[in-house]
Amino acid sequence: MNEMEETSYNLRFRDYSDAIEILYNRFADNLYSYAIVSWKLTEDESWELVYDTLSQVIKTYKNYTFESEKNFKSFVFIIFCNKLKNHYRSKKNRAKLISFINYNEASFEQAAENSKFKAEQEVQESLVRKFIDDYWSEPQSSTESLNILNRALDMLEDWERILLLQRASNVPYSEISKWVDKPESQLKVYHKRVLKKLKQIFFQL
Amino acid sequence: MNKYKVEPFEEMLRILFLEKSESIPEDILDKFFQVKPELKIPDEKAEKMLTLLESDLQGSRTFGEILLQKLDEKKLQLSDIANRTGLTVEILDRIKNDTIFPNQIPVLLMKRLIEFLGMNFNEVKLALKQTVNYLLELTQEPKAEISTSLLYSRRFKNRKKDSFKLDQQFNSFDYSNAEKVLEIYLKRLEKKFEKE
Repeated sequence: MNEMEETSYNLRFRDYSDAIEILYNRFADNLYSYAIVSWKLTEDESWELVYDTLSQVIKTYKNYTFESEKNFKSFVFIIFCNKLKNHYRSKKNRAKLISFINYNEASFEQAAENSKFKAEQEVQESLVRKFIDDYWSEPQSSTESLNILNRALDMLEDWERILLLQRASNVPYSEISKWVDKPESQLKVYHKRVLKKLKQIFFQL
Repeated sequence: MNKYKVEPFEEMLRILFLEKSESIPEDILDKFFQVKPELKIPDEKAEKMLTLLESDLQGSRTFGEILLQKLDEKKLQLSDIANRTGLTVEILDRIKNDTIFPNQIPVLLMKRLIEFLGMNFNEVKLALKQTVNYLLELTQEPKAEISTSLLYSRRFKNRKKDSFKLDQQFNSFDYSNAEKVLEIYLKRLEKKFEKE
């Protein structure tokens, strides 16, 4: 069995420096890149989060059973997400890092001609902004909105859901096109349309 | 400070991805880790992380894991160790699988095993504590149920039913005192080493 085929969660059966290297090679750079590109963390903050994540994986994986390598990947990712959330909440710095732009132009196609439609869009936009502010300050208060968003996502076709979630996790269009079987050149347009569709479903629920 | 401009609804999706990480289909996460990352950890920092992780792993190893590693390194069978230490293959197998509390092993035989494995006493202390912590966790009920969408589960759920079988002697073992018992056992073990 070569290194790529071997399951990461059987680390305990390996020499440990070997095991650490496998774990590092499989997860570290992707998490590091995700933290910097998607969440705008600094290099040092990202390094620390990745280290904390892998360190916790090493200390706790023995307490779990895994059915597959995919299972183990979920385990690693969940630990990372929890650390990322704690990082933002403890520092309350996400809001300081970002500013919002208007809904993308696709949402406003009709708005220029229809003032009622524009007002409706503005209300919706302020609701989403409020959700985001609440989320970082009082996470419990945003559970309902997240559930609605989840339900709205479930109402999309599989490829549409994959497209939105993959983009949200910063996967490039070139990679997504392989999985959703759509031409890369069209995906940016599809992404706008599907996002608009999701918003419509979300605000109807 | 320049702020990054984000589209609010996309930010909401990012949050969903983060918050609902437990229910994100495994295939999507699998692909997430397959993508070639845009950025890489610089070599110098990668080296530092590997060193720190290695010491984390070393410090978190149970006695069974160390035995397993030594068996692998020295290409030995349990029967080889049994011949050298006086421990039975069955007991060694349980030590290897961390299904026996260390104080169940006579101090003299444990000392022979430690010498055979070439471990120093501090290393032994740490590893035996890890073993006891691990066993204690196996005997406790989960504090909270992890999301049912997860396919991985706390190991002790299965272990308790199947491979982790407490023998008669274990059934009467007072788990609440396990750490104290280990302290006493370690002191006796240390004395054995000091006598030489």
